[in-house]
Amino acid sequence: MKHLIISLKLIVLTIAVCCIAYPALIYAAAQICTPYTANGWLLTDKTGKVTGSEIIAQAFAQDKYFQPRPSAADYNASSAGGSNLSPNNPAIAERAKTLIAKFNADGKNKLPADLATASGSGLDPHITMKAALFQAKRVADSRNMSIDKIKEILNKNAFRANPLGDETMLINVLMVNRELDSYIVVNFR
Amino acid sequence: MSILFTILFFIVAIAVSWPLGYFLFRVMEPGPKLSPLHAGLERFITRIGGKFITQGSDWKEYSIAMLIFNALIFAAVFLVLLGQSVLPLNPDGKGPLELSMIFHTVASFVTNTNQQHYSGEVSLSYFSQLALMWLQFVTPAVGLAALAAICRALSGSTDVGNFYRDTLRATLFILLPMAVIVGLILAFSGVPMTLGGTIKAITLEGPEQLISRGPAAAFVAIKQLGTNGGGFFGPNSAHPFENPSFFTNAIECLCIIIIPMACVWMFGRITGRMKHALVIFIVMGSLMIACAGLAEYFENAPARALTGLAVAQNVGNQEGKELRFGTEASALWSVVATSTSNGSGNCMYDSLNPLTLLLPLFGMWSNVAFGGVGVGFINMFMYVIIGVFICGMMVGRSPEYLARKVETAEMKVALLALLVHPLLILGCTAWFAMTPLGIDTVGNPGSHGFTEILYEFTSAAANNGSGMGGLKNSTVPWNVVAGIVMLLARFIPIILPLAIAGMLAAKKPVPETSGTLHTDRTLFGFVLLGSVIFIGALLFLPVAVLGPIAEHLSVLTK
Repeated sequence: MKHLIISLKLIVLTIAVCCIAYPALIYAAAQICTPYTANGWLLTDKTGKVTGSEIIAQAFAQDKYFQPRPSAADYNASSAGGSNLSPNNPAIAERAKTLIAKFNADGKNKLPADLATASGSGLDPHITMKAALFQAKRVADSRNMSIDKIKEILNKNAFRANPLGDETMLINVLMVNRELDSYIVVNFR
Repeated sequence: MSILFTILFFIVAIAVSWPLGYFLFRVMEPGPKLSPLHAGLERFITRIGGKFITQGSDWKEYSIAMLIFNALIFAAVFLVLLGQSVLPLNPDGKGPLELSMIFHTVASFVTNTNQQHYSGEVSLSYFSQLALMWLQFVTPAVGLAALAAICRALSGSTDVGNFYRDTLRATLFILLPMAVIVGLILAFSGVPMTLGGTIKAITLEGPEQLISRGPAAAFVAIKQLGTNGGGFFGPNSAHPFENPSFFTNAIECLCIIIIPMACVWMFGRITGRMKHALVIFIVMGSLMIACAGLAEYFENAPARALTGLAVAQNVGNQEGKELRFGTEASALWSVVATSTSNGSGNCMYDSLNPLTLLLPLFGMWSNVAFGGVGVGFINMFMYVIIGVFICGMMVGRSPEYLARKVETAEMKVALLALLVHPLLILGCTAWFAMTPLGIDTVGNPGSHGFTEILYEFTSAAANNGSGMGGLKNSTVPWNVVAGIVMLLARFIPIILPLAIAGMLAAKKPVPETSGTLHTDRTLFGFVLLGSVIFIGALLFLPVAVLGPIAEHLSVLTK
């Protein structure tokens, strides 16, 4: 009986502290100091409508946009997940063949590996600089922009993946695409 | 292939574990001289628990208290999940869960396993998530309490302390402040912390995208610190909202390991045998570092299915990985999270190269390379007993450990404690691999499918919780059997070692002689390493060959 009473006391106390006080403290601090990231890095257009999250990949199919990595979750950010295919599974080769055809890759102009493999979350917001340069000509052509200008935008957005590792540079696909869209608007004016 | 991050990671982890070990010791064994703040906190505990909480107990009463408390937290969270649809904090209107799924989820979180057959953002309300977060605090605290009790017994005391006082100390004075610090670091470096529900975005090309959010920062902090590993979102720490950058990844990965490392120092301080603790620490550390190195090497090989296609393959296996972490930090995490009983992931285990998969499996089979909070050291204690016994037999004298004779009774219990683990894994794997229960649920063909079944039971029995996501494990048989495996694999390997420690403490001390095996020397380190590898891992060699090794060889010949 003593055990039951004290167990219940423990349960009530730890719930109060761990489930109420602790998250409330983190919540308050995050909402006050970093509201943008705390609410999910939400991006809005000029009218205030939410157009996505900075760190969540969204689907791009049109030629004028850079395209993200394949997503096993079909870029559904309310039910994320990877392909969970073994790296030896023939299904990976089948998917890659479709992608190779889609991107017009061949033996000389190989498709970068990150564009041929599904990410872990299905929401990986990045592609490598190589994968971006691979798509740069297509994007430039469909936008009537010079490829140098595209490269300039890419370089401005590039950052190093692992500061202690190799030199792999990454690009946030959505942010670059947004910048490309805003660039056109400025030009027309 | 670069390993600079890995080296820096281990240096920082070891450096942090040392002072943290002292902190754990001071909290769990306060002693007579206390700072005013510490004394105040101890008085607070006494006021909550009354006189009963200051009374010590023997190992039996301690175990009973632990079981009662665990039964109650099980019931409490079971009720919360059962009533999910009518309880508050449910902005997306999540419906009720299936009964076997509730059983599995609660068993999983009560046992500090956090194996998940559901996907967080799909099935759970914020209220249910908070209830699970509560278990992520109290269950590692139970592990720390049990370890403190065993340490007291090993230092010669038949009074192993008070379970409730230990659990409160561990929850409120160790896990809570650490979670606050880590939660704030994560929130400030970009992990979301909101109670707002799923948001509907109009993407640049026009279609809608639904984006789940949630109070992830608080959840992830304790998930990592308490070797819990149950993700807020389905893809765990691969999800950009749980782990948005290389920096948060480094912090989260570090949090997995620092408390299990510090537990070894805590043992050394409570028993007053720091050199013995150092030998054990080196054995555990060598195992983990060797596994991490091998995993990074194997994962540096590209996905084999892409061989011969027009794909640039010089960057390692990218399937199931997030680019912001890369293969090095992903392989490192996979080892760190499985050698400890954390089981979170920043990449998809199912898509690791087959040889890489051997290392998470080895980590869970041996379950001692730091292991879970508290319980990792308890597992190692069994191997210590076995190692001492084998050495004693080799020189033909009755073995001793920490000045107590180790005799038949203790050995029987130790073997039982060690054999539960392979029995559960191999027995259940055989059962499911031979019947439609398992065969119909695998997500990949051939040996990889067998590995998925093996992995699921290994993870359940190691109270690890990681999983190969391709397995369709949300069926009633998977939920029930894996749930039972987790419960058995949690409480038997805590109570039996506690019994051994209690039995040793009740014996008369024997003086050290020239024939005593010195447990603080290099020789003992090798004995211990041998015990872990030969007893802990060799039992699993046949299934390793049937699963990952067979898969690797079969593609080599193509």
